[in-house]
Amino acid sequence: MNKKKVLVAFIACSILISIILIMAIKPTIKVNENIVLGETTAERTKNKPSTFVTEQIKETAEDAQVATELNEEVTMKGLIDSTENIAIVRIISLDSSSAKFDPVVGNTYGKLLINSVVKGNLKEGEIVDYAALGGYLTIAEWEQYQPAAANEKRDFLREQSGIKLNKEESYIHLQFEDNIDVEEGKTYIAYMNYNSEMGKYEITGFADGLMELSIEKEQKRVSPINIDSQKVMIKNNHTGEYESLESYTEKVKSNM
Amino acid sequence: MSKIKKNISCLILFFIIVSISSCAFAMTPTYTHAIRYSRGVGNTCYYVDSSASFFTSSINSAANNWVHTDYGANPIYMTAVSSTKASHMDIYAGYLLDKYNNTNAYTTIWTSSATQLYFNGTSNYYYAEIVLNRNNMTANTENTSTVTHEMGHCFGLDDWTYAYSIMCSPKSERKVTRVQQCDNDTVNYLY
Ligand SMILES: [Zn+2]
Repeated sequence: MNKKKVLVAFIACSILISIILIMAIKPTIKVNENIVLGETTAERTKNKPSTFVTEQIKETAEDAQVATELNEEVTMKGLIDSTENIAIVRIISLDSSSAKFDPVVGNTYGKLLINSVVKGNLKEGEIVDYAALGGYLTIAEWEQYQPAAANEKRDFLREQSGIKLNKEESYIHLQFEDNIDVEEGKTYIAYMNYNSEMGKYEITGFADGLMELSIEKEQKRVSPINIDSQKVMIKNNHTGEYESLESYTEKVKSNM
Repeated sequence: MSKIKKNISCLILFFIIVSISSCAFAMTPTYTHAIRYSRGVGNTCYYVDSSASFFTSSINSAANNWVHTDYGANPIYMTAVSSTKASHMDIYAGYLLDKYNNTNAYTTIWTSSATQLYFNGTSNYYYAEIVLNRNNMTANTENTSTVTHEMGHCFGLDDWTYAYSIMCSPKSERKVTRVQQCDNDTVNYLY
């Protein structure tokens, strides 16, 4: 009888010790390639791509496109001359949006990493605040900067259609024809001027000032990368065609 | 009797051939996304906001040009109104930021429940909004042709690189300041 009790206690202890051992060993077995031993949580989440634009915002936002009437064709030389900084950038975050400095399509604000510099004094590896054209804005924010009569009309039409809108929680997605939105974790060539009023680097040049590179979207941590400019392609926003980054940057340099 | 029948048959055949060939050769405008005002253009009501009062004479001239094009009839009739509630075309103006110094104006299109639409979408629209850039628009003739061009967008016409169309954009060096035959034809194609 006693022997039986000892056996049961022995088995129970063994199971308990095994569980404790498995739990203790687990972290070293399942090594996450992004975790460095001795790293704090703050360091682990540093530069992790993030965005305030949730899937729900994307699905429910009104898509709005603005067609503009340009006076003159924008030339590459003209754009380069009027731009202080041209760089290959990696988007870390989309933090917020506002129509304060652009009542037409608004701005998206966030942080980006300077991967390499084509023109200007920014430093490789530097992280700066940016303002990109367009993006997702709450209707309340956008309407603050629209003509009163236009807002009254929209309120009247919504009421007529039986639509009750919570303007603080409803979004409008604004962008110009051909322009692209910034996306977290993606790599672009960006034309930027520092806007002291905003305290941010403003991405300029419309569809010619922000072009995506054919580099996989970063999911874990945005850090500087080596780019093979012969293999990496850049997308023309007007035609949808690709050309090598090397051939594009050569054109930029010959216009500088 | 059979001769008369034969002649009538020939005549019918002739008309069928003529109508088929004229259809095939009729111009199919390429500079429209084929979306248009859901309420038609028979009584296009336009509202000029106080911000755009500087442009009132240009706006009225442009509206008059779309009604009387010098190139035959079209279904457009335009009336100036003082309320936006039922208007088709609302015109505002503002001093846009320096980065828009190359932009004369912009146009947006909306549903009857105040949702904005894409020009290259498939849905017709209830009303359109034009915003004119006061920083750019100073000379009167240019203003009228810019407003005429924007009104063309409101009617459903797209930008075109053909220099002899009012829908040619200034950046493509438009040579005309008024509505042309091709523009009038496009309106007749759409409505
Ligand atoms: Zn246009």
